[in-house]
Amino acid sequence: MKRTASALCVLLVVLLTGCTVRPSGVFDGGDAATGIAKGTPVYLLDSEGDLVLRRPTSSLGTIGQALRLLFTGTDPDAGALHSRVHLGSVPTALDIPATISGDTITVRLPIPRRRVYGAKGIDQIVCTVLAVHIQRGGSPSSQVVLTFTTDRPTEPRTCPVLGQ
Amino acid sequence: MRRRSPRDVRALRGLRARLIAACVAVAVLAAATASWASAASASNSLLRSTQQRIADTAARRITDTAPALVYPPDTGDLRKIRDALDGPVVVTYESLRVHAGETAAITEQLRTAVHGGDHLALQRADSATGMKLLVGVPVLITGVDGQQRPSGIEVYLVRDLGDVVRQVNALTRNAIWTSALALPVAVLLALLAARGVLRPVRELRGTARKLAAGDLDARLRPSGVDELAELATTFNDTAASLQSSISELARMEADSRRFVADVSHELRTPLTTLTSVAEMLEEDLERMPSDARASIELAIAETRRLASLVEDLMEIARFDAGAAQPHLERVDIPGVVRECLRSRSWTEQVRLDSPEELAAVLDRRRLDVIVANLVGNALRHGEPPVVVRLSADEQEVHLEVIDNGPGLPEGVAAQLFARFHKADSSRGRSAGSGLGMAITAENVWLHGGTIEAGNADGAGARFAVRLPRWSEET
Repeated sequence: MKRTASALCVLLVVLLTGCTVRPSGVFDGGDAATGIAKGTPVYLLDSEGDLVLRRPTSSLGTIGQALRLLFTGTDPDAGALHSRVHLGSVPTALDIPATISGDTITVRLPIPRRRVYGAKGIDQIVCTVLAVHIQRGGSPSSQVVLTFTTDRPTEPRTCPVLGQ
Repeated sequence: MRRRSPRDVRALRGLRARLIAACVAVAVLAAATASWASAASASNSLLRSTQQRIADTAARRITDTAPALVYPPDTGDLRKIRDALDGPVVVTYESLRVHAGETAAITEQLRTAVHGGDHLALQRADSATGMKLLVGVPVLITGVDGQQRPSGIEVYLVRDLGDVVRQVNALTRNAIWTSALALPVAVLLALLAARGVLRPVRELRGTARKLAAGDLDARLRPSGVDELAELATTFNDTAASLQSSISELARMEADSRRFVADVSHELRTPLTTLTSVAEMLEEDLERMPSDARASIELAIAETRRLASLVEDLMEIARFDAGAAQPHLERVDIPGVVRECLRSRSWTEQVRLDSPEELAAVLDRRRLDVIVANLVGNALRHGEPPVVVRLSADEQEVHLEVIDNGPGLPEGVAAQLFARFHKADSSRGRSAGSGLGMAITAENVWLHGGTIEAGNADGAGARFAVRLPRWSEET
């Protein structure tokens, strides 16, 4: 009888002292931080029409900043590389909004569809958007939808040189 | 402190106490376990979610800040990360280091885990200001292909877990209170349960006591269809079977006693005639031829022994039939004993050791039978001198008969008062009837006394009789 009572008391104490916060060893806390890079990724085209990655600045920046660099062509070392996206008279101070919903990035371009020449021009924009998105910790399987001031938006697209 | 009486100890160790203790223990343990389980679960969830929230917030703020930084960073870039985070923080890149607040709690273990790692590392550590969560965040460079590698930038944060500890302690206190509140409820329920279960057991005990006291008609009233009802039914069946067996045995015993009494009674008349004839023959023994004399002497002795046996049988039959009643009167015991010895011519062989006077209320005739049988037995089976010792206190008279013989063989004392017991098994026929000691014991018991047989130190057999001194006179 006494032994049973003692065992019960010990069990109660063990149970009730089990609910305290104790020091621990090192344990996993999830994914690390990212978002740092040696420059903003911008895709230009070489003479063969292939996409080439350029980094005209020293920090990663945002999707909007990368697109503005693409549109304005401020890369002094671009050499023979060129772009098939022409801004025309759109002010350079304008921010280009990009919204992310799940695995879809929607970019609202402040230009009509005709300012982008052909599929290569679309690929330049999509690859630039995806490169920034992935380097900021986004999913590599994301797709990009481009909207224009006129005409219909593009279908969700991926970048041909990012190997998905 | 009051000593516990045997009754208290019985109550504490009784079925009721054990049943209540078991019920209370189970209920309290169940309540404590449930409370603990919920408190532990809530505490763990709270702790995990708090830790994850702190870690996720730190990682998100760093990830939000990092795209604006130049790589490789300088001290200014590291400060931007530091400024984006609240509380104590250290940001390092190779030999560069910026910090804010008290960060001494950060352990070498955490630094080792973060260095070159690709996941956040967390650790809880006690400090002088309470429990802290240490967060180590490696900053990774993600390539455009999704591949990641360490950038060399590491961020360490120290976050206070005081609020969580307080909430967990509150949950624990609630669990303790819940367990404590379960105790009175459990006691109440256990009392009710014990009452319901033990009532039939108490009835069983009462009925069993009635049966033991001789009320063979006592029965339980089974109610319900549970195990206790089955037990009651089985008990009733057992009692009925017992009653039937006892009644049968009693009938058979009564028949056999009646038979013995009838046989003894029927033998009396012819034996009286035989005894008369034997006495006549005895008177004429001198005139008989010597070859016939031995046979006639043997016939006379056997006739007398048979008469004595029949008298003893009738006495025993009277005891068995409950017809024997003591005729109580005030007697002087030493006087009765002296008369008993004198009338049987034993005064030479027996020494009486008694006070001059010793009054008591007893059956004179039966006392004479007790003394005569014990002394006769001592002279027959022991050796003279025989000592008869009398003494008394306020309540009892003590009578001891000690002989000078070899004493009782081992194991004989227990059967000495059985009917037809012969101390010497080789003597199938002896001068005694084999009923003398049984009659002696019956006479002692009739007075409400006790008789014991054993061996005296330095002497032979010792018989000790205790009789109540002041029985009510009839």
